[in-house]
Amino acid sequence: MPGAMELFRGLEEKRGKERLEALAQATARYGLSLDAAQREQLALCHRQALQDTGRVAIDGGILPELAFAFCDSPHVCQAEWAELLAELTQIFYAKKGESGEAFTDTELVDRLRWHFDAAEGGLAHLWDLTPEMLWQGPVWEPPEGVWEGVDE
Amino acid sequence: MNQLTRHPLADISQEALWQLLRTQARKYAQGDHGSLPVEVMEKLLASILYTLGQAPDAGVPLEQRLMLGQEQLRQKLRHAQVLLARVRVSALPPGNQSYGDTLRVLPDFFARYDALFFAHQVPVDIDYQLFLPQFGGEGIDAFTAYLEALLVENRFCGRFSAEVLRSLWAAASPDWRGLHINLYEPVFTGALGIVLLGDNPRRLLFTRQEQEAIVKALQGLSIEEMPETLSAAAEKLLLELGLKDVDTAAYVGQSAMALLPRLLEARGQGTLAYVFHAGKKEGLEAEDWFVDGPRLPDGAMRRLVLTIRDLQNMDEKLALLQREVSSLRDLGDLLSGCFWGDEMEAVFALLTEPEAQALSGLYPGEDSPDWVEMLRVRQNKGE
Repeated sequence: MPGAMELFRGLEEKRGKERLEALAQATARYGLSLDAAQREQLALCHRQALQDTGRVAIDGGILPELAFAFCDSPHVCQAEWAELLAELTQIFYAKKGESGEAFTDTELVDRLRWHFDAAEGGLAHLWDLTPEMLWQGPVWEPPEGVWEGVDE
Repeated sequence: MNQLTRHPLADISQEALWQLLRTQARKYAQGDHGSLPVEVMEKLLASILYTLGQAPDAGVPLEQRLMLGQEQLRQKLRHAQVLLARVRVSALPPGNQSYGDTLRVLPDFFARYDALFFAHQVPVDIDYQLFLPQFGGEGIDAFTAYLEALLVENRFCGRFSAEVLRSLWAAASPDWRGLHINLYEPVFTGALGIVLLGDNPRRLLFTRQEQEAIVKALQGLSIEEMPETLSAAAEKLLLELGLKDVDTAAYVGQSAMALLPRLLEARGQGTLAYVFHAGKKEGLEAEDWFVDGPRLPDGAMRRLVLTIRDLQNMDEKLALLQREVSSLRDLGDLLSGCFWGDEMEAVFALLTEPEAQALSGLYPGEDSPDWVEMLRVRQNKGE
């Protein structure tokens, strides 16, 4: 059975890479870009995060959602953009598993974004969050227009 | 080589299958999750393969074939509901915990069964073991096979009275109420043993002398003669008990063959007497062989007395007795303190003949409680 899932993962990764290219163009308006090598590294990182947490992506992966949610944060800069996305991916899937699927993807991303801003961009704080802290804490609300022009 | 390439459905397009898996996964996630735990994905895939296997390959797109398979599952569910109703009306006399628990959980299958996403699963814990385990099959097919076999075992045992059955189960295993035993096995082997003696199996119970005669009869057979003898005995058994349906005939025939290796081994070890249980105790007083179960601690006994007194429904009182009481001494105390008039008869009806004999034997003196006399009168009528 693991063999069958690996085949499925491979096909999903292809979809994930296509979405990543579209994402790189969409976030360029915030001065955040990803070159081909970075996209390749992010795809590998995404795959590893899924494997580490025993999950399989069914919609190309979470990277685009994370990028759109975090791209207008005042604590994000181009120099660390690729690294930030890589670690956020790890955090997202870890918290998804820890919470026992209690959060939808959108709920979890928005909560992580609020805590990220609250910690002034500190990722270590996000790792320490328990499902209860995420559940009870405030939620970041995306400003109007953030998804504008992005084909989901 | 992965599971898919080994599967009988390996000829279907992998790309179409992955697309179907993605569609099913998205439906399952309801748009809330863009990823799922690998175990869930594996189960979704197993369910898809199982459901596709229900529908013949009619050259239709895979998604349509899945829907045809799901329709097939719905029909099988309806059939299983009919089977379950038959199992329940033919249920064996109450007493064995695992049998009773299983009958209680079986209906939950229909509420829990998920034909859309986890069709290959059997979502209830089936505790009670059949004499012939039903291997193979998944989902509704495995559940149906279990019900069919359980129904046959019920039908077979249903040819004998509750009292006779209880006596035999008690002889086969004094703690038959609490142990995980198959109730059909001693009934089938006992009836088969009587047929081997050339007698009518309807009486079911036999004495130790008759048990020895069965053992001798089997010891006199060669290894080559054994299968034929058992097979002929099984056929005669069906005839004598008036069991004509095909399923029962097949099951009884298979039971006889399943018994063969055990009989050969027991014969080699000189333990054939342990296979055929003498349910009829002759020349023995109950106290010579009866071993009482553990008594309840004082606190638990007090709580049980109060609970039984509070209950209005007799069936609930009896069910509580069967569940909680393992000792005849405790039962005697409860009879004295919690039951009156006609209620006594209902409690007595729960007892096997040896249990009733042992219970009245616990109160030999003249100052015994009133119900002891009622029990003795009942026993005398039975004799």
